[in-house]
Amino acid sequence: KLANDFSTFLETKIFSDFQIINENTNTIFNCHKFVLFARSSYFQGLFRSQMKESQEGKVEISGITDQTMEKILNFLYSGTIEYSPENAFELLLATQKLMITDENFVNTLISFIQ
Amino acid sequence: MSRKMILRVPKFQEPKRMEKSEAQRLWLLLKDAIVEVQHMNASTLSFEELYRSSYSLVIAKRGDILYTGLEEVNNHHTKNLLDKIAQAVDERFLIELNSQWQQYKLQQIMIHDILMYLDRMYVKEPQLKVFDLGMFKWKQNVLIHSQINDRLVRMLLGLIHMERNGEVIDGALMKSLIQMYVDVSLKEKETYKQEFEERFLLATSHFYKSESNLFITNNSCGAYLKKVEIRLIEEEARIKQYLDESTGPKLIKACEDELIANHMQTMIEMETGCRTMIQNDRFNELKLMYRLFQRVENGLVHLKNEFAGYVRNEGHKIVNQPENLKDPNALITSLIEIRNRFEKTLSQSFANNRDFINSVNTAFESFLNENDKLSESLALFIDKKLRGGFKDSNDQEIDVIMNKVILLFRFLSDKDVFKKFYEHYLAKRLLSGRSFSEDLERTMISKFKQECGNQFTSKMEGMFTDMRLSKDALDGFKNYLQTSVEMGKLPKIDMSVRVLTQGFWPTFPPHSCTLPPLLSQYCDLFTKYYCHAHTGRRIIWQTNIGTAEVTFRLPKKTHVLALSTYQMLIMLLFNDAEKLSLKQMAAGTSISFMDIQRSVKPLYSGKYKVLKRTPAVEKSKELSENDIFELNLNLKCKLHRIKFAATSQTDSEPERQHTRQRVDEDRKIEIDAAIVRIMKSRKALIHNDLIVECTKQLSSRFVPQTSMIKKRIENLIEREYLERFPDDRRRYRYLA
Repeated sequence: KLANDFSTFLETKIFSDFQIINENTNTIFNCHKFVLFARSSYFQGLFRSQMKESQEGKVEISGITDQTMEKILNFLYSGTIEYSPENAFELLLATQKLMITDENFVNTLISFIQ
Repeated sequence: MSRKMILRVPKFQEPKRMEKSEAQRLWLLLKDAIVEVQHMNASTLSFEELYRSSYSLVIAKRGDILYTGLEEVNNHHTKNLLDKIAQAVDERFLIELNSQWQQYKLQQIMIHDILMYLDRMYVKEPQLKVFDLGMFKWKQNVLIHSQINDRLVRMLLGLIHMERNGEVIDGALMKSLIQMYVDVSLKEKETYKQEFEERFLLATSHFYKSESNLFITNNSCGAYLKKVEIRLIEEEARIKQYLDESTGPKLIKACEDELIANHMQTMIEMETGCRTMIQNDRFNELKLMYRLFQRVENGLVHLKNEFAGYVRNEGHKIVNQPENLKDPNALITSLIEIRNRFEKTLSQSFANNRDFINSVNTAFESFLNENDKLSESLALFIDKKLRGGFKDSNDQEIDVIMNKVILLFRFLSDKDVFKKFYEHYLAKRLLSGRSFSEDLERTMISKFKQECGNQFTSKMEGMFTDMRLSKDALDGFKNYLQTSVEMGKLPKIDMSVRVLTQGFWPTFPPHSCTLPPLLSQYCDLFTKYYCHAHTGRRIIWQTNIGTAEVTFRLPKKTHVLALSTYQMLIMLLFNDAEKLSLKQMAAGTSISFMDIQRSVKPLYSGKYKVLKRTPAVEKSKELSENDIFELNLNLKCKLHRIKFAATSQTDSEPERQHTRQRVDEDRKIEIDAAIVRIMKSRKALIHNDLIVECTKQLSSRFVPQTSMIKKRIENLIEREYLERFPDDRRRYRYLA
């Protein structure tokens, strides 16, 4: 229930206060600072250091495809994710780069790949 | 943002090997950024770009370039800072140090955030984490540098010293600088402890050592205690304000050692110290002393011993004061007074601490049993109260006094002696009709019952039953007289008899006397009546404790004299004689000479003299057989009824001796019973164990002397209750 309610935030983009932009495709993901801050050490550092991105309210990221980013964001908001042999490795790389703090999930992924 | 740096990671492929030049380029980019951060110009930098650079380096296994580079940059930066800070003079030094430190800490957080991927994926023990590396460089190059550390600690301690002397200092600055020692400690606050805490504690001890020595010599103990309390509160506040909390217990311990532990003996002994406070009931000061002494090891033991010693001493004085030895009432009253006083001290100053209460009780036990007259004094005290001493007290006050009596009673080791005396005086009260209130008598007895059980009070209760039954018997006797044939022949007298069950009542020393024929006849009638109504009973007349009213006709006036039976007999002799010697009195009444002496005394030496000695010899107290008495026909007295004491108020020495003897007799029986009880259940026992067990069993009633127990064992062997083992003379066997 809580997961569903939070997913609504991502779907409707309501109260969105931060944008993640895919540098390659220019796709914009509208997100919420509080979710990102709570679930990823990368974003914690980004917001805490008060550099350019936190002032402009957006970050341009490369090396993560739109599909993967969508799945990752979904996971950050709802805590659930679907993975398959095709996308598992890419998902793992992305969670590592963004330093997703949900260790259970990361470990599940690693053992799945192995 | 430059797109060239983007590292593409194809699916399911290892990242490409990174060229060394590319790695160098990425590092330089990061280095420039770190320097910007160190100059507080971070807002234009791109977090993603820096993060991605360090990420790429780590992914490409070039973390070493980054880590060693970072170490150098930090090294360089902190060395620069050292010069800047060291140059600052006087108070500027602390302010400069603090502001540089605050900035440095923020920078290190930022650097950590940028290099997060390095920190997480590359750094392995024993390498320091990125943030810790920053702290370590600050410690190494700034804080413990010879130009900083000593100067800083001295200034911090100087400020604390000033504050202890009443000046105001910047608490926030202190907190930040002292916390710095904690922050740069890698584990267990070791830098804080080594560089700061140790010296701080030393300075504290030093400060309070000299302050306390000076203060205590120039002030009263009370003032000193207040000072200590304030100091301890201040130090507690200091811990909260700017010290690390781990220092708290150590700091307080150091203060307590210097301020309390080192001066305990002085505080107890000094002129204004503990002794004086106890003497003068300075409850608040003692309470403070208790609270403070409680904080140090063995502190309360000192205080307790001092207090108990004082109690013992005071008690000792009271029980040995010559006036008190003569006046049981004054003795018990003063004992109750000091008990009240010490109870007040215990509750107001010593939080009713159980140890304190126990040691006061032990003190009471010891001095109350110093004096073997205490049992009797206590019985006499109650006697006086129950003879009317309670007249002006309300129920509550009476209850308080009774409870105090019970309390003192509890401390007596020879409770059986007390019991004998109590029974003795109770009997006298009842028989002479001097008891003030039966309700109060019963209340008192029920308190003893609560304390010692049924057995203790069964005789006392028996006395009350006898009194009631006697009244019935007497009523019956009066009816019997009216219907009796013999009655017509006899002149009517008003005779009252009390029938006392043997065993309930103290055995009064046997005395004999010759009653006038009329009385004798009445006695015979009563015996006849009573034995008829209660077959199988035997009546022994105890004339010596009776009373009588005698009409005393003077030429101009008539008085009624309330006398003892013996006095009545003596006075009746004067119906037939003008002058009588004591010898003649004894012959005429068959009363022992000693009882004659005692009975005559109140008649000629009291306030109203019905007899006079001829010739009058004022000085000589001892009466001799040949002293001659005659009626004092010039008696001047406004009262119609004159009451005479049977003998002197307190018991004479022989009577007391008699009571003691009876206690000893009872003790023999009790000891016999205890020995048999023990041996019956244990079958065989070594001599010493038997003595110990026996003493223990009897301790609630009295403390038996070992020699007495030995005698009783011998006696029981003779009576074949026990025997010695033939092979071990020290062991006894119970013979069923």
